[in-house]
Amino acid sequence: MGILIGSIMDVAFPHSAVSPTLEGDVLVVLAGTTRPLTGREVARLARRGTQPAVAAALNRLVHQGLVHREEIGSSFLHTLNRDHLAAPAVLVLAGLRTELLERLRAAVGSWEVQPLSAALFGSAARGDGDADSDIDVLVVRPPQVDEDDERWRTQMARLAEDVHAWTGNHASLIEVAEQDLPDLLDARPPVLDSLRTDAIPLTGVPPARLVPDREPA
Amino acid sequence: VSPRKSSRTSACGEREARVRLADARAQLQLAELAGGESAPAEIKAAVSSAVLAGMAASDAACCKALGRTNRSQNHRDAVELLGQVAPGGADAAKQLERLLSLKDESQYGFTNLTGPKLQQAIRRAKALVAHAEEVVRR
Repeated sequence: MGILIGSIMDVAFPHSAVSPTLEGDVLVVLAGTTRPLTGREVARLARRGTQPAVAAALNRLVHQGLVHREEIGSSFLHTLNRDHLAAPAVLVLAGLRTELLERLRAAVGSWEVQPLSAALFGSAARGDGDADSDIDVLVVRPPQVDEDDERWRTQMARLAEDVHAWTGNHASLIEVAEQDLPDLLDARPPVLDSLRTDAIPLTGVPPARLVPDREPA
Repeated sequence: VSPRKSSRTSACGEREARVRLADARAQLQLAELAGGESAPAEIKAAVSSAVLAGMAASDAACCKALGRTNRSQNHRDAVELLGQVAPGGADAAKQLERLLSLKDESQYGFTNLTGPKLQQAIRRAKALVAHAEEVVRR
């Protein structure tokens, strides 16, 4: 496995930046459970790759000792060998999306001027995009903070740079002033649906409460 | 690797995980509607909602990580299955076990449940929902 410097994060399969083959997908599935899984179950949970291709990947991983295989009745069951030297690296790869969220929360949490709300939304929150997807972040500016406030602008710019450095993806920061939220509700842009259903709160008021789904009076 | 027991499970995946996670959040919101001033019957209903939130969260985590969810009436099977989610399954399973111990009391019991018991149930349900959210977005 080699780290591809400057690679872009596939928001659906973040581990692909380091392990782009089906072996990476299989390992991430096995890292998610201690339950022994059949090849068919692994293929279903991996979300991509045919069953024969997943079986071939499992064969290679069993050969390398990173996956244990045991025959139970007529089934072959697979588990991640958590004692393997490479297992810690697999667990890190399996947790990349969680790591992105933790970094976003830490970054926004350290801001001198706190937002009313910040949330990850869109495909990065749903985990269904690809390597070309933006990392969408909603940031709601409190009413007492001016749009041109230098501290506010600096921290927004730094967040965009950090997200790009962490993932290789473009950070799309959607900034809304608290006083403009009613206009957003009236305009009902498509982004509202994602904010209501998929957004992952980073700090402050959760988006589902800021932009409730109700018909205008 | 030990042979798998024949507890009743059914196949499910990411789509079902998201549906059950939404169910869990909704039940948790219902549970949180009751407060210290609520009538005994309302507290009991809220505990029942917290239990349902925990069960839905457990289904969500299991569907995403294991591709299966519990269909047995035996609480121990559900707890054991959740314990197989990694990481965090073992801790989540303990929360579920304690939450499920309130299920019969809140849904079929003749005695009242106290406010502190409700707060404890809500804390456990919140922990389970947080765990499921982490697993589903992984």
